[in-house]
Amino acid sequence: MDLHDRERCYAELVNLLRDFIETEKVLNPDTKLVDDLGLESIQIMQLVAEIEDVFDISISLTGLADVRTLSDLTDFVMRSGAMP
Amino acid sequence: MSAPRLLDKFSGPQKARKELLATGGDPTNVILERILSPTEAIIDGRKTLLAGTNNYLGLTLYPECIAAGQKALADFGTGTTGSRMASGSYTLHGALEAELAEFYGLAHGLVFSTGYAANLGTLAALCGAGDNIMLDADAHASLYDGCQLTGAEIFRFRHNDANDLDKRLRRLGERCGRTLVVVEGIYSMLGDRAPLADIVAVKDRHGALLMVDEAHSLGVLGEHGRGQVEADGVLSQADFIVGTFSKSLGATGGFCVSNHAELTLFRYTSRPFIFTAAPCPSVVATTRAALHCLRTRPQLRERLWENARRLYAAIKSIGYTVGPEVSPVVAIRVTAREQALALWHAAMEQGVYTNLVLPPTTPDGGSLLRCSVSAAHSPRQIDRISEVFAGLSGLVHG
Repeated sequence: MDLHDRERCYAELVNLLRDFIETEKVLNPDTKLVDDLGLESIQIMQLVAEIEDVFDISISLTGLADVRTLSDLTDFVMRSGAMP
Repeated sequence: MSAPRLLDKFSGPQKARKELLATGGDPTNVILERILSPTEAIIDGRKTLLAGTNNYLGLTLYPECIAAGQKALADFGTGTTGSRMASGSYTLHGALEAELAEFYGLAHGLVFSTGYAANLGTLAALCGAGDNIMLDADAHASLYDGCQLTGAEIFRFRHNDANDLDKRLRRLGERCGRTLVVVEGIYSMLGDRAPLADIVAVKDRHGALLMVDEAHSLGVLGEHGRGQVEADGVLSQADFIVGTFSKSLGATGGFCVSNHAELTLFRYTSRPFIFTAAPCPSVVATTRAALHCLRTRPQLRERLWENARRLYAAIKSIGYTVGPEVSPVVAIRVTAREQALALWHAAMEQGVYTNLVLPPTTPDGGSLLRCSVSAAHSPRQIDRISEVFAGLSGLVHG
């Protein structure tokens, strides 16, 4: 996965997120992971593990608390992939 | 001026407590009115069999432990009234630290005021900004809290999966040299053990250090009761071993032991060690007496495991879903929260106390009734616990 391509990164995250939510939920960049999708903390942790494996990157939990929306998550994953 | 909103966050817990009380009582606030023995107490005016105490060796009422505590009370007083850095250590603290180090065959030991503080204090001393922590996903809340205190980058690996750890350390590359891998000996919720030999091989391959929390495995595992590090033959390769006095040793407090000389510098760098009162003399004295019992009475461990095997097999044969392996922690897994609550209340009404654990504390988002077995349980008491759960299985399987 090319982490310089934000659109592809976003699309892949939407794809991964589908496994954690009801199928009829509409997703857009402003969708809030907790408030709109009702993700529990354990599901977010599982999602992070999936993202790490799909993108072959390490995601530190340290900055995760600031991630609210799908757009935030996309930025966060791209930053994580850019880490040395 | 708008009304203060600081306390708004309590509306959720308030609602949750009301819901719990509506089920017939609050399982998180059980009052033990009188202790009859390590395995029995009066709760709500009723004699109750205790199957959720973590009193693995049953040492809480041992005459020699009580006598040691009483003597320390008389000799040293009720409390230390200050931190060890500011107010000094008692000879008892140093003696316990030396005994713990000697017990493990390691060079250094340090005592903390609680097991929680031991985890926070060890992590906070070892890691800081620019460091990395690789934490087992099912690690105890005290380890997660300790990680938050460090300012380090925090990563998780899949529970008890050495291959997953290997993969995640590989991704860290050169950063592994500044990485601490954090695991437990026995995991508190499901009672499963860490594959420490595999984990040690992985961390050595990547040049990381390892911290093992033996809170539930001290006195329980290993030929001499030194925990999973001993059972898996990796005691000398676990860089920092942490534990608690509040389970198999029947007291309160925690410790860290290590061959790394840097442990002796925790006294100057570990805030959870520095900025809290030193453990009470009586508590340190009962801990020393209990450690002596642990070392000299292997029959306690044998009895504990007989009881663990007996209860695990019985609960499993009833048809309950249990943890993945025989352990003094026998977890009855229940998918629906309401079923778990009903099962817990019904067991209490029949005189059996267990720990109710609800999400998000559970590893998989389900609920569980967590039984912990003691060496002090008689076979008849173990059978009584399983009889009660056999009679209640309709609440889950009906």
